Amino acid sequence: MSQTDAEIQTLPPIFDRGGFLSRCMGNQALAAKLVGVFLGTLPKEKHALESATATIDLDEVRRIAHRVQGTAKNICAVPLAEAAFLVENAAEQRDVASLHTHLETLNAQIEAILDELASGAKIS
Amino acid sequence: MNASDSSNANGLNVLIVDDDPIAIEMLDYFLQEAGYNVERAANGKQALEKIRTFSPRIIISDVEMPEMNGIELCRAVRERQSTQYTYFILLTCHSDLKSVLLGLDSGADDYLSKPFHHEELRLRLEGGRRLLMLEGRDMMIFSLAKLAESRDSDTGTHLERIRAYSKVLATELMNWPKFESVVDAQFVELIYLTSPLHDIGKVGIPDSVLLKPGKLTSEEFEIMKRHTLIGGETLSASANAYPEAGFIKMALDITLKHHERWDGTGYPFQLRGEQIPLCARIVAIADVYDALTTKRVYKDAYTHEEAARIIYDSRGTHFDPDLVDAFAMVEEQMREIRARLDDTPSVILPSQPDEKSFDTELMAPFFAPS
Repeated sequence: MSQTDAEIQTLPPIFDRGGFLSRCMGNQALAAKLVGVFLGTLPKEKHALESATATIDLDEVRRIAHRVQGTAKNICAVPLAEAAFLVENAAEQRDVASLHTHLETLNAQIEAILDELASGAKIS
Repeated sequence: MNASDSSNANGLNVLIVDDDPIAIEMLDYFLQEAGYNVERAANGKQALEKIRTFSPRIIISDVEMPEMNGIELCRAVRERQSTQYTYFILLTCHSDLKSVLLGLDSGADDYLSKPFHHEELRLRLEGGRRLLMLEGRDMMIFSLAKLAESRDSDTGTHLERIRAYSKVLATELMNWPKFESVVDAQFVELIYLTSPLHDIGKVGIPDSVLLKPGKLTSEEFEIMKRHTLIGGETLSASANAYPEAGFIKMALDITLKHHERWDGTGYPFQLRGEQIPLCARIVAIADVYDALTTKRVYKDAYTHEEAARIIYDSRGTHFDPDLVDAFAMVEEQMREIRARLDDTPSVILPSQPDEKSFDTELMAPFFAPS
């Protein structure tokens, strides 16, 4: 299903730089440090999620997705947080079919934010 | 958070527990900026290890974590025997009402929704610090009182009884129209808190007088009476330094004036009637009732009935008539407290009039030949 222009305009950004900087009390050094931590941990979380999904360890999937959701909220990456929430919810409901679908979305969001931050990670 | 927070935090130890590396970094930064000493743990199990050596006053913990989650950690912290209270804040997701309820039920004091805002974090921590300060205040007051008691008392529960009697009497007065503008729940709480300080000045009385097993001479009795002034001087310094601290003012009134008598024959100032602060009039009854019903080296314990009769007989002389009437209303509660907090064998034989020493001097009218 495609999105209308109005819907796209109201979508939250992949990464809300202004909001994130505000959460860091305007401290750019702290913001840059946190982005660095985020870039270092997110690929590992992605890999751990894939491994847990492959072995259908739903408790582990739920736990990792929950953590990614929290991290994403802290970094002001709302779409990533929403995608992680759907994965967490599917794992909690033991809904493996939905889990695979939501995991694809989550992986896409992970790639999107990694691209966003890698391409222009300057926090200002 | 700003620079002014640093002085307030005063190096309080805070343990942050979260498996989210971004949350840990943010919390660490904000807390250190505010002047807290910070340690980190990635789950409940690690946190318990840290607690062994770090002794946090505040723990901020995520709920969902591997190994041991935040709720299990909170339960473990509460089950530990600790000399000081640990304020526990749970970090939860907005939608996680179940975790919030479970967390509060497990002993958490407060919760903070993720993602937290630094200003909300600051305010939650201030709430925690206020509670810890109150705990410190209460512990300090009772420790001071215990220190004074340890020098001359052979009973371990005197202070507990005094505060319980005072609370019961004050609670009764809450229902009296005459006292409703003075005695409220805060008054009751403060008298419970401060009444154990009534004899704090005894730390300044020489052992030769304080610990003398037999009768005091008139000169020794004059020295003993100085305990009210010594205690008053000590607390006056605190009252002047912290004029906004109502509990010090009440402690001062009690310490200085609990040996005054309604008819003006008490000490140290021979105050009369309502010149004597209400809190001191209440503690006067509590103190005498306890002295009468407690066995001493020089006298056996009076029964409750005998002690009550003496108090009724002193209505309008030693004691405020209203307070004696209040005593009559709560007599059974007084008896119950005496029985519950009894640490000495109760003997019903009254002491003889000629067995005077410090306490019997205070009660001289009760022993006077008719």
